[in-house]
Amino acid sequence: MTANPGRQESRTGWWRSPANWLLGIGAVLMACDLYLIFAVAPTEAVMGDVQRIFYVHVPLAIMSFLAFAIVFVASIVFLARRGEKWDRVAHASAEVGLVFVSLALITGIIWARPVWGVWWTWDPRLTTTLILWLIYAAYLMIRSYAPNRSRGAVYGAVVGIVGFVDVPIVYFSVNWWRSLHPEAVVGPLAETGSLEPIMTNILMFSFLAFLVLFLYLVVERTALRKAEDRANALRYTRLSSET
Amino acid sequence: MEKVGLSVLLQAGLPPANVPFIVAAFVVTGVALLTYGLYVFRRRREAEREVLRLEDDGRQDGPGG
Repeated sequence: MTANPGRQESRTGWWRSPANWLLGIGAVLMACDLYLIFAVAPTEAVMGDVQRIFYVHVPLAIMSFLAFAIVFVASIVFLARRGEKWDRVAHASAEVGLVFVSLALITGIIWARPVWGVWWTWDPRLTTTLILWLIYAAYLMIRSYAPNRSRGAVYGAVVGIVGFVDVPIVYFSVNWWRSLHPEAVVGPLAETGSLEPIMTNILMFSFLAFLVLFLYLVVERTALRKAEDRANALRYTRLSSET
Repeated sequence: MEKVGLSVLLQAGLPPANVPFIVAAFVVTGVALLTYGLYVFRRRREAEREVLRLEDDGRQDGPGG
């Protein structure tokens, strides 16, 4: 009996995988982030403790923007070069981005209830974010229902490029239209001094923790797509050799 | 219209704590990310096992099989 080299490596070399490192670092950063949010961050004067949701809500939203920016770039490169690798990255990033934007919407809804007195309102920021969610849900559905994988990849790439238009609209919506939503605290629209320095530092730490977690999920999801593609190719080879 | 920025509360206990909302937001986020991470991890492991199985079968059905 001979040992399978692939199996041998998967048992002994877990620490060689970048995904496992990202997971480990992400878990430590998340634990530190929770400590900072609940033990170090000051209580906000107007909203009270419920404002602590802000330290997860904002990074979740920004990471979803990052995810859709990756989908946008990877889709352009895929259409230009037809490289499978870029399609895998776009697909993985869209799925992870959808998870993050879903959680940004849910945490926003939970935050809105005690602060605004309603779970949901058709505010420009909320509405454009819901549209963003629908675009990337449609992206994944188009890929699933396409007649074959290669066509699904092309249709998905087109949606990934066109759909990205909504990301800047979401970001600038609070300035373009009258909005209940608080103004931007990060990026070009953020005003200096809109946050206490300690709140800014903890928010930046939250960004780092969520970024590492986001990268882990994208790496893991891309590896899953790669393994699925390899299994499909092997099945196809086997079937064609049998017939 | 005057803009209301976020400022630190110097006198404790004025705004309501709204603890159930805080707990709900953090629990939903934690559980959802953990569930999704585990789902992807398990599916990847299954897919990699399937690849190894198909490669083994291919080797057995190959020149000598």
